[in-house]
Amino acid sequence: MRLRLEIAARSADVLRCRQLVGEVYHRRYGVVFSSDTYDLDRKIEPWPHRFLMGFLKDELAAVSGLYLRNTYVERFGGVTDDEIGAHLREAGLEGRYDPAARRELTKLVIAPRLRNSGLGPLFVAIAHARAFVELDAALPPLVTFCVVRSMRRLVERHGIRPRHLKPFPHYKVHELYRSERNPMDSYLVIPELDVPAAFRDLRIPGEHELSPWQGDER
Amino acid sequence: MSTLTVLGAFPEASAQPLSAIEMDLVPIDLVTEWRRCGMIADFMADYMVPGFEQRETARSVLSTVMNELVENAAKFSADTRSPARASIRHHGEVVHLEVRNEATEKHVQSLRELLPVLAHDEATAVFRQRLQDRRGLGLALLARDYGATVGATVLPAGPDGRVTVCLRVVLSAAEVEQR
Repeated sequence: MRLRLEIAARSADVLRCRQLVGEVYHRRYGVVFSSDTYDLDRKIEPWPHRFLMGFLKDELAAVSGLYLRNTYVERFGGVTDDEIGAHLREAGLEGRYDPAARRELTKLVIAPRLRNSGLGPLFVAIAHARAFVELDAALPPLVTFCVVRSMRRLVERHGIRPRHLKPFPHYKVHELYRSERNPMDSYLVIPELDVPAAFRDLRIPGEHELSPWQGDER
Repeated sequence: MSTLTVLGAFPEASAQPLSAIEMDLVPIDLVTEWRRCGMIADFMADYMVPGFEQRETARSVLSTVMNELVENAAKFSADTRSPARASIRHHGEVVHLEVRNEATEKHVQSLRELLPVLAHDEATAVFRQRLQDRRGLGLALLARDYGATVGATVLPAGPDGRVTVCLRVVLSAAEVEQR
């Protein structure tokens, strides 16, 4: 399978990304989106600032969003700079990263016909490429995300090593995503330690031959 | 052959409205930018208010009701890329606000439960019960606060399995102006 990767730049690309994310999130989770407001109890989510697009031939097959600031884990997950700093100290990287300089992968969707094809977790790994998460950053940022545990396990199969930060609080917006048996947590990724070079150095824009794993997505 | 089913009270209108606005909406646009629901409701209300003497009041009532209908169309569309149609028609003594869209079967089932009860019972009691049950309040709230008549028609599934729902809220013109 050859997957073409691009970062959405033109208005039409951003619109296509938003429509695919909106369609999937609305159908599966009853979620809607807004550029200027959010309310997790009313299931209104904030839009990411950037999108990575994955095309199979001409079909938009996968999208991953990126928050450049105001990450989900800090706004809604209660994760503090001090907690991030403690993880950096533990990893022996104190002073190498600014604990507050974080970006967050979010709103991963796969085109409905490709659901459970394994492309979801693979695309999470792909989205860790520095060409996407570090674009326009003054210094390499840390990466965060929040997912259910089943998804974390699938992402780990691709060699990504997310560091558990803390359980994610309960919000109505996630009632159809998480469950008692599949809880949702906040994670930290320190790119130089936790992301295999094959993904970290992935060329974007570019076309790549990839063999996806089977599994769930989001 | 498809048969139209009426749920709740669905009074027919006189042939020609005195004034009207009708808009096509694509629900995915609302899902991706939720404030568009309010923008559409406000625009349609603004367009209609010159037909009322108590304009500020009419604007507020029409916008509130239309917002509820547009949000319903966005939340419960079976296919968010399939257009929905929203309208406000001023028939003189009454005003009809409606949205027609392809709805999910789950939504139709909830309308089947709610609308006949709203047509026959005291709206306040229905509202109180739904509040207690933590179920959707919007339509019951319109019936309670504005004395609105709420009903729908359901056109059963065609070959593609989709159901078209026309949800209509009827207000007296006096209620729109809160006279």
